[in-house]
Amino acid sequence: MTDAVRSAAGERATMLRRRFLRTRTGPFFGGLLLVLITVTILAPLLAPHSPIRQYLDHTLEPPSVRFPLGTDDLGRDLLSRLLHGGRITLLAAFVSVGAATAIGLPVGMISGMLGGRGDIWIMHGVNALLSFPSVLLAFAISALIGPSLAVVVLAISIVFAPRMARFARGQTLVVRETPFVEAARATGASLRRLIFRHVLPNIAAPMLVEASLGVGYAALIEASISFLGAGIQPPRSSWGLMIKEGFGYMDSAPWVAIAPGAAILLLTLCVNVLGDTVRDVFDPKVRL
Amino acid sequence: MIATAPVLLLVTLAAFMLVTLLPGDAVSALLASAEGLDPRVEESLRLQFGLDRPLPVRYVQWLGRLSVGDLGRSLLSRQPVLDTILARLPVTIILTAGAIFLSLAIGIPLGLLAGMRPNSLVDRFLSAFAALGVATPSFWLGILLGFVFAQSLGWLPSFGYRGPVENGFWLMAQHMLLPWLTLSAARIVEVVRQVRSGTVEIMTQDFIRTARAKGLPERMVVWKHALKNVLVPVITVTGLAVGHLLSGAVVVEVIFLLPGMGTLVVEAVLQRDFPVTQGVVLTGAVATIGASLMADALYGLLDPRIRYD
Repeated sequence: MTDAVRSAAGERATMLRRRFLRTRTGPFFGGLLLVLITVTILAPLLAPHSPIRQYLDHTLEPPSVRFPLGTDDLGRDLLSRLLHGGRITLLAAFVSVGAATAIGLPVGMISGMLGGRGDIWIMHGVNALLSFPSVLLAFAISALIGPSLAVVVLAISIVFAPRMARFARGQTLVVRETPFVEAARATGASLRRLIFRHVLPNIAAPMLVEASLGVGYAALIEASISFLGAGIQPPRSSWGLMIKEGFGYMDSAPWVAIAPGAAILLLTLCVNVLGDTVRDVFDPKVRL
Repeated sequence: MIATAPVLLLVTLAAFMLVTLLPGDAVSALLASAEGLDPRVEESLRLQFGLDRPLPVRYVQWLGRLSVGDLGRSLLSRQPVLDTILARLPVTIILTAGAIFLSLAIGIPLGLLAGMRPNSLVDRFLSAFAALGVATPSFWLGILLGFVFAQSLGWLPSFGYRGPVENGFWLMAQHMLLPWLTLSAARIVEVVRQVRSGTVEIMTQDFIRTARAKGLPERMVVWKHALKNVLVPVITVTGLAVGHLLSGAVVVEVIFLLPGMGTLVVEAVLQRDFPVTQGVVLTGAVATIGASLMADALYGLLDPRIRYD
């Protein structure tokens, strides 16, 4: 019997892989995202200059062979800052969405399985947190604690955790009504067993899609709060901070702010399209 | 529909905790500039502010003052927080309302256009454009728009605010056009997506076939029969998007130097003006809840099948 289950799972995986490859957007944007992640991870090896070295006789230079994306007001190489800044932006986005999922997923599953009064009050709390405009809340938290990478991650996680909780609860409510959960409940399975054994495996795929869509949004929030001055502090770089630094030189050196913005756009585009594609791949009603 | 009263209560609790649990308090912020001050002065100030009392007591007292509209005074200007917020509120309302109007005025026709002929060239073009629009950081878009239309072409003023009462609507609109576009870009895309998928679904329904069969011109079929049904969910989502718009408004106001709530809160937070920060954050949450309530009410009005008992 276990062999039959295993081969069925294997067949399903093959089918999903085929469906994914059949979409043209999936492999393309997936590959692009991998490239983006790889070059930012390898930033120290790939960057032509140090991200904080100031070439003071080369300030605000347009793109050239020596400085492929030009230099900023302090004569720092923009390509190097972009690569190093990408590490921070990507790290902040992935870690904060991961942390938000780690908090929100169990809360949502427990809330959905509990039902009744406990569920209602947990959701009141979630809705209350969701009422705060996200950038405003993340900005206030990180500025009041004191700006640093860890605080930015914490602030974005606080903004995202209730989103993940609400989504997980919605998915849990669907699974809860299925006959196999009812059967497990009838045999006296504990809440923990129900959640880990039956609910979690069945909501994992949509959660993953939701989390990946969250990464793009988290990158936008990081950029916003760094732009407002409560995020990553100079001389370190993040894409949001680079836009802030270039904002004042739009009339004389627009490339300073254009490159990091385009990088955020590319990251968010890849993550969003990939997330949408994976959702379609898992949805048997969508023909690919 | 979310239960408003308990959520509002929890919102006030969260706003209270935001400035109470985080490091530093009003007194240390107040005394940040005065170094080497007698510690007894600090102690007496803490007593005066009531910071020596237990947290639950302070929360209930704060809630009591809040219920009569007393949000405290700004640590910097010593003005009542409520007055400060009310003075800045019109700018943010004009910015947000204009962005909502623009997103519907542009998004609905484009969505209909795409949804009428799914998979046509127009549809594909719009959906590619939509993917780009969602991924664009709004403040970066604002900076680019300002650079192109104000600095390079000189068609529009790049920043500043002109009140509609003193300067008339047109001068105000000229100054607000770029902020409106910046803030509404992401919303336009959302509206296009939603109207498109709604239209695609509606156009296959029986009542549309009936309307066509009885010889109504296509224009009437689309604008009267289809649109009415497509719009209902658009209204709800617009109501739910007010929170997002307020988030965006913070950054847009900073870029275009608009004296609204966004610039107010950024100044307040960076200078550790706790009461103002708390007031603005609270106002943002209450506005978000209010907007979703309004959307619920409109929803019932537009769709007679929905009744709240």
